[in-house]
Amino acid sequence: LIPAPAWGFASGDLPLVPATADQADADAQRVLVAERVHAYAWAFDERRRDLLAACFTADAVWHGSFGDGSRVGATRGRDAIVAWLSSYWNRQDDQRRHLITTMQVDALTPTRATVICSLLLLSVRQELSPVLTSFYRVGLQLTDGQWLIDDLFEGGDLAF
Amino acid sequence: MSEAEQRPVPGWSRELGLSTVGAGSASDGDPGVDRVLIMDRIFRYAWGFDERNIDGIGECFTEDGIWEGWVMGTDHVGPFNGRAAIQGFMGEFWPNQEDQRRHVFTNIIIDDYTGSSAQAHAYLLLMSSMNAETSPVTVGPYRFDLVKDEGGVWRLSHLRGGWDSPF
Repeated sequence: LIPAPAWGFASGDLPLVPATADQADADAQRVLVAERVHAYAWAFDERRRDLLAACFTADAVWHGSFGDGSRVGATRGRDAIVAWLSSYWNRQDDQRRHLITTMQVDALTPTRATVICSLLLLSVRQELSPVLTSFYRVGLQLTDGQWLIDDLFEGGDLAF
Repeated sequence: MSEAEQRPVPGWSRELGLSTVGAGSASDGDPGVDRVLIMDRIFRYAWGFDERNIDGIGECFTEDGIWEGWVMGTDHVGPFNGRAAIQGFMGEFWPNQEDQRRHVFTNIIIDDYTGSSAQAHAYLLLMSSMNAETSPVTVGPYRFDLVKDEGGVWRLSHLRGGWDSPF
Protein backbone atom coordinates (compact mmCIF):
# COMPACT_ATOMS: atom_id res chain seq x y z
CA LEU A 1 0.00 0.00 0.00
CA ILE A 2 1.53 3.31 -1.09
CA PRO A 3 1.64 5.56 0.77
CA ALA A 4 1.42 3.79 4.12
CA PRO A 5 -0.74 6.06 6.29
CA ALA A 6 1.32 8.28 8.60
CA TRP A 7 4.46 7.52 6.61
CA GLY A 8 5.95 10.90 7.53
CA PHE A 9 6.23 10.09 11.22
CA ALA A 10 7.10 6.43 10.65
CA SER A 11 10.02 7.35 8.41
CA GLY A 12 11.39 9.83 10.90
CA ASP A 13 10.90 12.74 8.52
CA LEU A 14 8.23 14.29 10.67
CA PRO A 15 9.38 14.55 14.28
CA LEU A 16 6.27 16.17 15.70
CA VAL A 17 6.53 16.87 19.39
CA PRO A 18 4.01 18.05 21.96
CA ALA A 19 3.80 21.82 22.25
CA THR A 20 5.57 23.27 25.25
CA ALA A 21 4.68 26.24 27.39
CA ASP A 22 5.70 29.26 25.37
CA GLN A 23 7.21 32.43 26.71
CA ALA A 24 5.82 34.49 23.88
CA ASP A 25 4.01 37.61 24.95
CA ALA A 26 0.34 38.33 24.45
CA ASP A 27 0.75 39.28 20.80
CA ALA A 28 1.64 35.66 20.05
CA GLN A 29 -1.47 34.17 21.63
CA ARG A 30 -3.55 34.37 18.47
CA VAL A 31 -0.84 32.48 16.57
CA LEU A 32 -0.50 29.87 19.31
CA VAL A 33 -4.25 29.30 19.31
CA ALA A 34 -4.11 28.68 15.56
CA GLU A 35 -1.17 26.31 15.97
CA ARG A 36 -3.15 24.21 18.44
CA VAL A 37 -5.91 23.64 15.91
CA HIS A 38 -3.29 22.80 13.29
CA ALA A 39 -1.64 20.39 15.72
CA TYR A 40 -4.95 18.54 16.13
CA ALA A 41 -5.01 17.93 12.37
CA TRP A 42 -1.37 16.81 12.27
CA ALA A 43 -1.91 14.47 15.21
CA PHE A 44 -4.85 12.74 13.56
CA ASP A 45 -3.19 12.41 10.16
CA GLU A 46 0.09 11.14 11.58
CA ARG A 47 -1.76 8.78 13.93
CA ARG A 48 -0.16 10.14 17.06
CA ARG A 49 -2.29 9.31 20.08
CA ASP A 50 0.13 11.17 22.34
CA LEU A 51 -0.13 14.40 20.37
CA LEU A 52 -3.87 14.03 20.00
CA ALA A 53 -4.22 13.71 23.76
CA ALA A 54 -1.97 16.75 24.19
CA CYS A 55 -4.47 18.85 22.24
CA PHE A 56 -7.39 18.44 24.65
CA THR A 57 -8.31 19.31 28.20
CA ALA A 58 -9.21 16.36 30.44
CA ASP A 59 -12.91 17.23 30.25
CA ALA A 60 -13.04 18.21 26.56
CA VAL A 61 -16.06 17.57 24.34
CA TRP A 62 -16.06 16.48 20.66
CA HIS A 63 -19.36 16.69 18.77
CA GLY A 64 -20.62 17.37 15.28
CA SER A 65 -23.45 17.72 12.84
CA PHE A 66 -23.31 16.49 9.27
CA GLY A 67 -24.95 17.08 5.91
CA ASP A 68 -27.32 14.14 6.16
CA GLY A 69 -28.81 15.59 9.32
CA SER A 70 -27.01 13.16 11.59
CA ARG A 71 -25.38 14.24 14.78
CA VAL A 72 -22.20 12.68 16.12
CA GLY A 73 -21.32 12.65 19.79
CA ALA A 74 -20.96 14.22 22.14
CA THR A 75 -17.88 12.29 23.16
CA ARG A 76 -16.76 13.56 26.51
CA GLY A 77 -13.31 13.48 28.06
CA ARG A 78 -9.81 13.49 26.60
CA ASP A 79 -9.30 9.73 26.85
CA ALA A 80 -12.66 8.92 25.28
CA ILE A 81 -12.06 11.38 22.43
CA VAL A 82 -8.63 9.94 21.67
CA ALA A 83 -9.96 6.37 21.81
CA TRP A 84 -12.88 7.23 19.51
CA LEU A 85 -10.85 9.19 16.95
CA SER A 86 -8.02 6.68 16.85
CA SER A 87 -10.51 3.84 16.32
CA TYR A 88 -10.92 5.14 12.76
CA TRP A 89 -7.29 4.50 11.95
CA ASN A 90 -7.81 0.75 11.71
CA ARG A 91 -10.58 1.29 9.15
CA GLN A 92 -8.87 3.97 7.06
CA ASP A 93 -6.16 2.52 4.84
CA ASP A 94 -5.64 5.79 3.01
CA GLN A 95 -3.45 8.74 3.98
CA ARG A 96 -5.80 11.43 5.27
CA ARG A 97 -4.82 15.11 5.31
CA HIS A 98 -6.96 17.56 7.26
CA LEU A 99 -6.21 20.96 5.70
CA ILE A 100 -7.25 23.80 7.98
CA THR A 101 -7.90 27.10 6.23
CA THR A 102 -9.81 30.36 6.51
CA MET A 103 -9.26 30.61 10.23
CA GLN A 104 -10.56 33.36 12.42
CA VAL A 105 -9.79 33.62 16.11
CA ASP A 106 -12.71 35.09 18.00
CA ALA A 107 -13.42 36.07 21.56
CA LEU A 108 -9.78 36.04 22.57
CA THR A 109 -9.31 36.73 26.26
CA PRO A 110 -6.23 36.06 28.37
CA THR A 111 -7.56 32.56 29.12
CA ARG A 112 -10.11 31.66 26.43
CA ALA A 113 -10.49 31.71 22.66
CA THR A 114 -12.90 30.51 20.02
CA VAL A 115 -11.74 29.51 16.55
CA ILE A 116 -13.82 29.16 13.42
CA CYS A 117 -12.10 27.55 10.45
CA SER A 118 -12.70 25.51 7.33
CA LEU A 119 -11.57 21.95 6.79
CA LEU A 120 -10.69 20.43 3.45
CA LEU A 121 -10.26 16.71 4.05
CA LEU A 122 -8.15 14.96 1.44
CA SER A 123 -7.41 11.30 0.89
CA VAL A 124 -4.49 9.71 -0.91
CA ARG A 125 -4.73 6.08 -1.92
CA GLN A 126 -2.37 6.08 -4.90
CA GLU A 127 -4.31 9.11 -6.12
CA LEU A 128 -5.39 12.30 -4.41
CA SER A 129 -9.09 12.92 -3.93
CA PRO A 130 -11.21 15.23 -1.76
CA VAL A 131 -13.32 13.57 0.94
CA LEU A 132 -15.39 16.39 2.34
CA THR A 133 -15.43 19.98 3.47
CA SER A 134 -16.44 20.99 6.95
CA PHE A 135 -16.13 23.78 9.41
CA TYR A 136 -14.72 23.51 12.87
CA ARG A 137 -15.80 25.57 15.83
CA VAL A 138 -13.19 25.15 18.50
CA GLY A 139 -13.21 26.38 22.07
CA LEU A 140 -9.83 26.63 23.74
CA GLN A 141 -8.62 27.51 27.21
CA LEU A 142 -5.17 28.49 28.41
CA THR A 143 -4.08 25.74 30.79
CA ASP A 144 -0.63 25.77 32.39
CA GLY A 145 0.67 28.04 29.65
CA GLN A 146 -0.75 26.02 26.78
CA TRP A 147 -3.84 26.54 24.67
CA LEU A 148 -5.90 23.35 24.88
CA ILE A 149 -9.13 22.42 23.14
CA ASP A 150 -12.09 21.98 25.48
CA ASP A 151 -14.88 21.98 22.87
CA LEU A 152 -14.56 20.86 19.25
CA PHE A 153 -17.60 20.93 16.99
CA GLU A 154 -17.42 19.77 13.38
CA GLY A 155 -20.04 20.84 10.87
CA GLY A 156 -19.66 18.50 7.93
CA ASP A 157 -21.00 19.29 4.46
CA LEU A 158 -21.62 15.61 3.67
CA ALA A 159 -22.80 12.56 5.56
CA PHE A 160 -20.49 11.36 8.30
CA MET B 1 1.03 23.33 -27.97
CA SER B 2 3.40 26.27 -28.15
CA GLU B 3 4.07 28.50 -25.18
CA ALA B 4 2.26 31.33 -26.94
CA GLU B 5 -0.92 29.25 -27.15
CA GLN B 6 -0.76 27.83 -23.68
CA ARG B 7 -2.95 29.38 -20.99
CA PRO B 8 -1.97 30.34 -18.41
CA VAL B 9 1.73 30.91 -19.01
CA PRO B 10 3.37 29.84 -15.72
CA GLY B 11 4.30 32.86 -13.65
CA TRP B 12 1.82 35.10 -15.51
CA SER B 13 0.76 36.93 -12.35
CA ARG B 14 4.28 38.18 -11.68
CA GLU B 15 4.78 39.09 -15.32
CA LEU B 16 1.59 41.12 -15.15
CA GLY B 17 2.83 42.97 -12.07
CA LEU B 18 0.00 41.56 -10.01
CA SER B 19 1.99 39.39 -7.59
CA THR B 20 4.70 41.79 -6.50
CA VAL B 21 5.90 39.68 -3.60
CA GLY B 22 9.02 41.21 -2.05
CA ALA B 23 11.96 39.95 -0.05
CA GLY B 24 10.46 39.96 3.45
CA SER B 25 10.80 42.07 6.57
CA ALA B 26 13.21 41.96 9.48
CA SER B 27 12.00 40.92 12.92
CA ASP B 28 11.90 43.36 15.82
CA GLY B 29 12.63 40.48 18.18
CA ASP B 30 9.06 40.04 19.40
CA PRO B 31 8.27 36.27 19.60
CA GLY B 32 4.79 36.82 18.22
CA VAL B 33 6.18 38.77 15.30
CA ASP B 34 8.80 36.07 14.76
CA ARG B 35 6.12 33.39 14.45
CA VAL B 36 4.25 35.46 11.90
CA LEU B 37 7.46 36.12 9.94
CA ILE B 38 8.30 32.41 9.93
CA MET B 39 4.92 31.74 8.35
CA ASP B 40 5.54 34.64 5.99
CA ARG B 41 8.80 33.05 4.86
CA ILE B 42 7.04 29.78 4.04
CA PHE B 43 4.44 31.67 2.03
CA ARG B 44 7.16 33.63 0.20
CA TYR B 45 8.80 30.36 -0.82
CA ALA B 46 5.50 29.28 -2.38
CA TRP B 47 5.12 32.60 -4.16
CA GLY B 48 8.70 32.45 -5.40
CA PHE B 49 8.19 28.98 -6.83
CA ASP B 50 4.82 29.60 -8.43
CA GLU B 51 5.78 32.93 -9.96
CA ARG B 52 9.15 31.56 -11.05
CA ASN B 53 10.98 34.27 -9.25
CA ILE B 54 14.50 32.89 -9.03
CA ASP B 55 15.70 35.83 -6.93
CA GLY B 56 12.71 35.39 -4.63
CA ILE B 57 13.60 31.73 -4.15
CA GLY B 58 17.19 32.72 -3.40
CA GLU B 59 16.03 35.20 -0.76
CA CYS B 60 14.19 32.41 1.03
CA PHE B 61 17.29 30.36 1.75
CA THR B 62 20.46 30.86 3.70
CA GLU B 63 23.66 30.77 1.66
CA ASP B 64 24.18 27.15 2.75
CA GLY B 65 20.50 26.21 2.68
CA ILE B 66 19.43 22.69 1.70
CA TRP B 67 16.42 21.61 -0.37
CA GLU B 68 15.35 17.96 -0.54
CA GLY B 69 12.18 15.92 -0.61
CA TRP B 70 10.58 12.51 -0.53
CA VAL B 71 7.75 11.07 -2.60
CA MET B 72 5.60 8.84 -0.38
CA GLY B 73 8.47 8.42 2.04
CA THR B 74 10.50 6.40 -0.43
CA ASP B 75 11.78 8.19 -3.53
CA HIS B 76 14.31 10.84 -2.53
CA VAL B 77 14.74 14.06 -4.53
CA GLY B 78 17.94 16.01 -3.96
CA PRO B 79 19.48 17.15 -1.76
CA PHE B 80 20.52 20.43 -3.34
CA ASN B 81 23.09 22.04 -1.11
CA GLY B 82 23.44 25.80 -1.08
CA ARG B 83 21.36 28.70 -2.37
CA ALA B 84 23.00 28.65 -5.80
CA ALA B 85 22.35 24.92 -6.24
CA ILE B 86 18.69 25.34 -5.26
CA GLN B 87 18.28 28.20 -7.70
CA GLY B 88 20.02 26.14 -10.37
CA PHE B 89 17.69 23.20 -9.77
CA MET B 90 14.58 25.37 -9.99
CA GLY B 91 15.86 27.28 -12.99
CA GLU B 92 16.36 24.04 -14.91
CA PHE B 93 13.14 22.47 -13.65
CA TRP B 94 10.65 25.25 -14.40
CA PRO B 95 10.95 25.26 -18.22
CA ASN B 96 9.96 21.60 -18.19
CA GLN B 97 6.85 22.25 -16.12
CA GLU B 98 4.28 23.73 -18.50
CA ASP B 99 1.39 24.20 -16.09
CA GLN B 100 0.79 26.97 -13.58
CA ARG B 101 1.49 25.48 -10.16
CA ARG B 102 0.07 26.87 -6.93
CA HIS B 103 1.65 25.75 -3.66
CA VAL B 104 -1.04 26.13 -0.97
CA PHE B 105 0.54 25.89 2.47
CA THR B 106 -1.69 25.34 5.51
CA ASN B 107 -1.62 23.89 9.05
CA ILE B 108 1.59 25.64 10.05
CA ILE B 109 2.95 24.81 13.49
CA ILE B 110 6.24 26.04 14.88
CA ASP B 111 8.43 23.95 17.17
CA ASP B 112 11.77 24.52 18.85
CA TYR B 113 11.57 28.30 18.64
CA THR B 114 14.64 29.87 20.24
CA GLY B 115 14.48 33.46 19.04
CA SER B 116 17.12 32.84 16.40
CA SER B 117 16.10 29.42 15.06
CA ALA B 118 12.92 27.41 14.65
CA GLN B 119 11.43 24.39 12.98
CA ALA B 120 8.08 24.64 11.22
CA HIS B 121 5.71 22.08 9.75
CA ALA B 122 3.13 22.76 7.08
CA TYR B 123 0.84 20.90 4.73
CA LEU B 124 1.19 21.48 1.03
CA LEU B 125 -1.75 21.22 -1.34
CA LEU B 126 -0.28 21.50 -4.82
CA MET B 127 -2.68 22.65 -7.53
CA SER B 128 -2.17 22.80 -11.28
CA SER B 129 -3.85 24.94 -13.91
CA MET B 130 -3.42 24.40 -17.62
CA ASN B 131 -5.60 25.13 -20.61
CA ALA B 132 -8.55 26.37 -18.58
CA GLU B 133 -8.60 23.41 -16.21
CA THR B 134 -7.53 23.33 -12.58
CA SER B 135 -6.79 20.10 -10.74
CA PRO B 136 -5.06 18.91 -7.56
CA VAL B 137 -1.61 17.41 -8.06
CA THR B 138 -0.55 16.14 -4.65
CA VAL B 139 -0.64 16.84 -0.95
CA GLY B 140 1.93 16.26 1.75
CA PRO B 141 3.90 17.39 4.79
CA TYR B 142 6.75 19.91 4.61
CA ARG B 143 9.31 20.55 7.31
CA PHE B 144 11.31 23.78 7.42
CA ASP B 145 14.37 24.58 9.51
CA LEU B 146 14.82 28.33 9.79
CA VAL B 147 17.40 30.68 11.23
CA LYS B 148 17.27 34.42 11.80
CA ASP B 149 20.22 36.20 10.22
CA GLU B 150 22.15 39.16 11.64
CA GLY B 151 19.73 41.53 9.98
CA GLY B 152 16.77 39.91 11.72
CA VAL B 153 15.45 38.18 8.60
CA TRP B 154 14.19 34.60 8.87
CA ARG B 155 15.47 32.30 6.13
CA LEU B 156 15.22 28.60 5.36
CA SER B 157 18.31 26.60 6.27
CA HIS B 158 16.75 23.27 5.34
CA LEU B 159 13.55 22.47 3.45
CA ARG B 160 12.26 18.91 3.48
CA GLY B 161 9.33 18.34 1.15
CA GLY B 162 7.00 15.37 1.46
CA TRP B 163 4.45 14.28 -1.14
CA ASP B 164 1.79 11.62 -0.58
CA SER B 165 1.43 10.80 -4.27
CA PRO B 166 3.78 10.99 -7.25
CA PHE B 167 3.51 13.82 -9.73
